[in-house]
Amino acid sequence: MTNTTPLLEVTDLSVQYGKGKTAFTAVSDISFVIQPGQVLGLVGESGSGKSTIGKAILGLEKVKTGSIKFLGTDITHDSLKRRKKTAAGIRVVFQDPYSSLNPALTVGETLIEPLVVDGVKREDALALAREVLVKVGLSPEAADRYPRNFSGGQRQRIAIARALIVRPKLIVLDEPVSALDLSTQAQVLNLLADLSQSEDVGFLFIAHDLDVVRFLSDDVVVLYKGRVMEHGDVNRVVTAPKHPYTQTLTAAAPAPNPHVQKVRREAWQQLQVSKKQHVADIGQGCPFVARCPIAQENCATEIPALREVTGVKVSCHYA
Amino acid sequence: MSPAKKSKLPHFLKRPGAVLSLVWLAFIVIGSLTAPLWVPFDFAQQNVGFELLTPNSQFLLGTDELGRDIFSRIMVAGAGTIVGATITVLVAFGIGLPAAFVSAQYGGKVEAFFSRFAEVIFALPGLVMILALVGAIGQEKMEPLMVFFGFLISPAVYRVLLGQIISIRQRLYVDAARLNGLSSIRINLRHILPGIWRTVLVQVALIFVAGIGIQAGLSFLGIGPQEPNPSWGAMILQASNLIYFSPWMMVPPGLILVLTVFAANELADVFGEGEAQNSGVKPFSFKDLKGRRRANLPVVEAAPKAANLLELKHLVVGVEGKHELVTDVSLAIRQGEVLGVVGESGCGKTMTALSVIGLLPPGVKVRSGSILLNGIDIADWNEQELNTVRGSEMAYISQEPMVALDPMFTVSHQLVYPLKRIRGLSKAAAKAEALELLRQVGIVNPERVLKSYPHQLSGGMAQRVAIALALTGNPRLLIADEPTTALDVTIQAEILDLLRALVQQRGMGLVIVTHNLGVVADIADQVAVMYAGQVIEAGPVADVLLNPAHPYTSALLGADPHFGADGVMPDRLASIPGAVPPAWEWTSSCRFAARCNFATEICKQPLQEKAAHQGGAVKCMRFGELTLTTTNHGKN
Repeated sequence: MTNTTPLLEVTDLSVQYGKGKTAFTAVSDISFVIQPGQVLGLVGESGSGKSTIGKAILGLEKVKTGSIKFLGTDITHDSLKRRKKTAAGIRVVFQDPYSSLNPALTVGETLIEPLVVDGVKREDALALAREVLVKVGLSPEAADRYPRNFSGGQRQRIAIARALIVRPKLIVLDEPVSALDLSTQAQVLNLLADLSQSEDVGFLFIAHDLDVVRFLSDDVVVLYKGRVMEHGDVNRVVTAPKHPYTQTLTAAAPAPNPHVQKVRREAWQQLQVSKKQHVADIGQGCPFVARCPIAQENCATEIPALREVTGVKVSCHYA
Repeated sequence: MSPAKKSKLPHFLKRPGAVLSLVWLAFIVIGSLTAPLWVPFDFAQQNVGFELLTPNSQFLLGTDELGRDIFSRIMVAGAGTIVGATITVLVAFGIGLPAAFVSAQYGGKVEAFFSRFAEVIFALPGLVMILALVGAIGQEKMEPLMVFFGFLISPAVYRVLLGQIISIRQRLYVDAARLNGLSSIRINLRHILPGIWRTVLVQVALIFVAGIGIQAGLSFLGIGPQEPNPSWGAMILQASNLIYFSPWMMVPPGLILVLTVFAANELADVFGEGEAQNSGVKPFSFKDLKGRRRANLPVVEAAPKAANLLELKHLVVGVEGKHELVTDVSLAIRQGEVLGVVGESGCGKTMTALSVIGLLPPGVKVRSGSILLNGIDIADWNEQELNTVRGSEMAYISQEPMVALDPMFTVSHQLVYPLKRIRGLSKAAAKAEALELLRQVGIVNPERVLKSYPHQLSGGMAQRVAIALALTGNPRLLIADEPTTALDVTIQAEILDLLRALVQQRGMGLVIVTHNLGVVADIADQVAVMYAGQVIEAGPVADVLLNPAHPYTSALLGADPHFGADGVMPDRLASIPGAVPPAWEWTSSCRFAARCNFATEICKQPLQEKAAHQGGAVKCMRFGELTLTTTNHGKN
């Protein structure tokens, strides 16, 4: 559409754990693009490889094949040291707000660390830290206190501040609200939505909950066993899922509105009934084949290519 | 109040032993290092005519067989001992600490190399090696021996610290620091070292003690400083030769040695103890169990047929001598009915569930109110009495199925035992019943699962087995505490299907504790919304979730991104400012008022319960005058 360089361009990414006989492919052939300021959701259940993709982008996991380009520069195999130059604009917020902050450092010390390493003066860095703390809804005095003085939601705000302080272009949000209670989760989600409007920053939002992803994201990639099942505009994917896996996922998520939930449960049970006639998984075809309600013989032997169906990319022979 | 201001020192100084130890060690270290400057006699000065004296005003600790002042000799000898022990500590850490950091950082082959090397050193016979070294370098010099001893003991430092460093390296803040581009040295110093300093201090103290001990042992064997130079071990040797002539001579060096070792150990203990948790929760004691009033053992068959399977009346649960955790909770559930107890963490929903099954943590007690199971009050039953209804009348499943399953035994073993105990089945019949139960909980290949160990099961499978385990006694009431929280959403839907089917087929009552409003909408008939230890709203699910009467309920619904599902997603979620107040700040007026958009002066009066919904209730002072939607409550 536009000619601007994409913020992040991931092409045919594969990551493998282990070597030789015990090798296990965590993700294969993942491709997606995030434009500047955009939010891409990465959704999947445990074992879907969503966190692996995040780690590969951060340089915490070795890439087997494929490439990762950040603002046009190939960073696929850059060491963490080299990434200081090539990928300084990529930051991260982790899921666990308890283990992600060093309990021995004050919040201010944690925040200014990357700046001080780059030679910024301590006082200047601290002033900036207080500014960023205000931006995430905390008081500037929070800088002088220790992580143990803060609740889970506040800690997650601090983690977001730590990512924001270097004025990043892309923040990888690895399940940033899964450990939080409902009301705190809403606070943090609202903050992230505000920041994505006010700051010039794109998010890669990794989560297991489609509705949470829908709230924050523009596009979504639905993963299953390390492969892309469906990829497209988040509202389209959630409200009219094409892939049987995405359909299963939306039907399985219980809605608090009893009327909506009644419809969802019926849809879920329909999928469960038709699942009975399933095709066995021999490890050569679609990864979802054994749980798929509409699988046919060829699904067990041919991996479906990602193809466009009414504006959304789907990898299913029968979608 | 603020833990940040509470530095480590005050806590440390609260222990008199620690203070005394510190004072003693300071005296020994400073005193002995400066001894030549201040001791009353030269250590080698022989005072003819004053041999073998007991303490007196001139010779504070008496004299030895040559009339030398024991006090002066001990203080002078201390310097050598302290220096020797310090050398041991420095060498042991000089080798062990960097090796541990390097191993943890590079892992793989590097770690394998260091670890094998450590094992080889460990395997060496220490004392024999030291004596061999004595043969090579002569017996006067203690320092080289202590260097060597430090080397021999360094694997101990390496091992202990390696484990700690590896566990800290797995913390996310270390990853965050790496992503900040910090050098590995900086990461080790700034992010890892502060996490292990307690362990380092403990090890320093312990190795220091070992250093003192080995020196005393060696000089007892005649190695180290030679006459007339004193050493603690040599003084003990002298004293033991003269034990019948002057038993006193043994006392000063022995006592000094013992006290110094004690002091260092005490310090190690204090460091190791760290920031002891002041949770106020008392450790488990059998006395608590015995002290309870004994009710008559129930005869379940003869129990009156109560309308309610379970009924809680004005239940109050609290930490002994401290705050309440559950305040005035009343709930009821009939056979074949599902009651959802919903709320955020810290709202008392798990404590309510645990009080029913009698599994409250130590120090937490039911204070008042009643728990009626089939009409019989079980609130003050002891363990023995509860065991007559646990499993058979009511069963419990938790969020973490692995907690219910013993990793040491096969699934078969764990299912068959309660079937034999509670249902009195023979072994063969119990096995057949176990297979049947596994089939009922939707396990496709029950024979194989029966032979498996818990770790071989996936999370969803393990929860099914835990449910089967709960069903072994044919309970009429199942209490499920967040049974699907740890599971993927598709597995959660399967488990909810299973629970729903069990309730329908068996006519069981199910209490499901959850933070997920969707789970409540899916499976529950009745719902109780808890906030800060109270049920603030209760009633039929459709009434409560579609027409919430309490601002907190409507706020929770507005905060849930699943609520608008299938419709249009709002731009902002209706978040509630602040957080749930901690239990020790709970009041008798409305506990939500501080976060509520509708709070007025009336909300400061004692909270009252009002009838709402069909047979339900709400605890809101302004009930009846508010129009609640899911978007109008937040104080944004």
